[in-house]
Amino acid sequence: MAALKKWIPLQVVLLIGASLPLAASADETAPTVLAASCVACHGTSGHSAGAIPSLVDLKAEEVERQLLAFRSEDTASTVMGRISKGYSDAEIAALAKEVASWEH
Amino acid sequence: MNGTFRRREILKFGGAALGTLALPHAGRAQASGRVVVVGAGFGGATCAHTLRRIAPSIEVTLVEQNDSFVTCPFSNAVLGGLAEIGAVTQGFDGLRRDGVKMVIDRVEAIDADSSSVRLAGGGTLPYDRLVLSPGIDIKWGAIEGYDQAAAEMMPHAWKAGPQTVLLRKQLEAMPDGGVVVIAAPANPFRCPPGPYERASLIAHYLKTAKPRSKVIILDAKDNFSKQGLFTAAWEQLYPGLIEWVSFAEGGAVERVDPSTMTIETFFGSQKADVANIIPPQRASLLVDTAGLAAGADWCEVDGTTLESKVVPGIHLLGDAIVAGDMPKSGFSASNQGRVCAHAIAALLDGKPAPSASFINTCYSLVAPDYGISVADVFRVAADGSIKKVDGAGGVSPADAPAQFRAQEAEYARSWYANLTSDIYG
Repeated sequence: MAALKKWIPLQVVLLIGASLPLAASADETAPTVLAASCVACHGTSGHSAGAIPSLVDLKAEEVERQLLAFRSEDTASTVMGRISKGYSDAEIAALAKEVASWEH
Repeated sequence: MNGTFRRREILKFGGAALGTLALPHAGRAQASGRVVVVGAGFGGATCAHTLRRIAPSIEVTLVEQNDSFVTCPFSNAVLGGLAEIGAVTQGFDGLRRDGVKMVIDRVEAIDADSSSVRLAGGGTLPYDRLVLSPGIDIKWGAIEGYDQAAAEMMPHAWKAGPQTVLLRKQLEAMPDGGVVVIAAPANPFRCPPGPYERASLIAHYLKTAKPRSKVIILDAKDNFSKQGLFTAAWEQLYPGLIEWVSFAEGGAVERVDPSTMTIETFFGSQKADVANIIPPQRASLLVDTAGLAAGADWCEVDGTTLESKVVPGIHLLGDAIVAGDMPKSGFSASNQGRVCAHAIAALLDGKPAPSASFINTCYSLVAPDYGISVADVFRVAADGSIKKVDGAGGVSPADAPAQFRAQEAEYARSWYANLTSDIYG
């Protein structure tokens, strides 16, 4: 019970924090910054020339599923297995949303 | 535990309250101001175009001394006869289309007190934020006898361009049975796997065109980047063609004599038909005009903003900085350019810089159909240094089949096309 009492105010704080525009900046990496690394290999807005797969017309769920499969090595890859291990579940979900939102 | 929660609450509320006061209008791309970027290599050009894309009201001026940029990535393919120099030469029209104001001139000095840079052509550019991506300078004289005149006989080709073309011509003119010596420096230096990719692609050329020739790498180190992968590939593709002499075996070059094409190490001397001396390096001397290296060879920065630890308002990118665990690579520089652009856009908008996240992915070609890679993810530690994420990253597997190597070679070419087309259009 004592633990719950402490827990409730914190949640309230976090909820208020989430609705403020600056709350995310100091603690977690913004999806736009996370996804900025992707275009270096996959091309501007995910349009790839040559062998590296393009990231166009993908739904967020597909990107998320693929990244999680690379990370668990259920799907074989060259570099993506190594890279995806550097991201948390939440970051992968945020990255996937960002990649799916790119304008083509 | 309770104490930690309280601190977080205070930080959240404190940050939000400050932000609200400082920022009457919320939302994206409100930042304005003048940003001057120096150096149109991977770091500077990426930072300039990223700033224009994420914060169009910021005025971005990019100063570059040459009217095009010859990339070090894939310049080893030019040496191996796999590409022409034009294929690794990037123009700036794409940057101009993005609204970057290009100034082709040399920066003579940085005046941090008046927040301006002075151009060799006579002009002065004032800035609100300055970004320097100036690359390296050679430490002339660090190897006895190796000066600018010697580099015309024994090219370093560690800044791509005329030096690359010169070294290629020397390789073409060399008779069959000749000896190519590559002198590799101690760490840290630009592009850690570069000398070994270079040895590989020169060996590829020699194997095809001059099969009785040899490549000798004289190294100032006892180990090098992707070493296991390179060594295994050399045994398979170029048996007996590449000899690597480690520091312990007397590989460190002490002195050169271009008139006799002699390279002296602590243990003896070696005659060369073609000598590629990759000398010790430091941050471009430009940084010294504002004391940014603080007497050292490289500049210290904060990992989140890439802002100098010595002079506020000046950000540094790429090979010139101490980037913690990140290697000195074009890809690293470009990634730092993106992160720096996001930081500057926030700072000019009165907001804190967002948390940084970096990747470095570097391919090396051992042969046209044989590629190997290193890929890592980086975050910023509490002390502001850039640290590799544990449990992620690494090099290509040691036991991969030929198909895997061929795919990575294809990816290497695609990597170059995508990275340069994103940056230069």
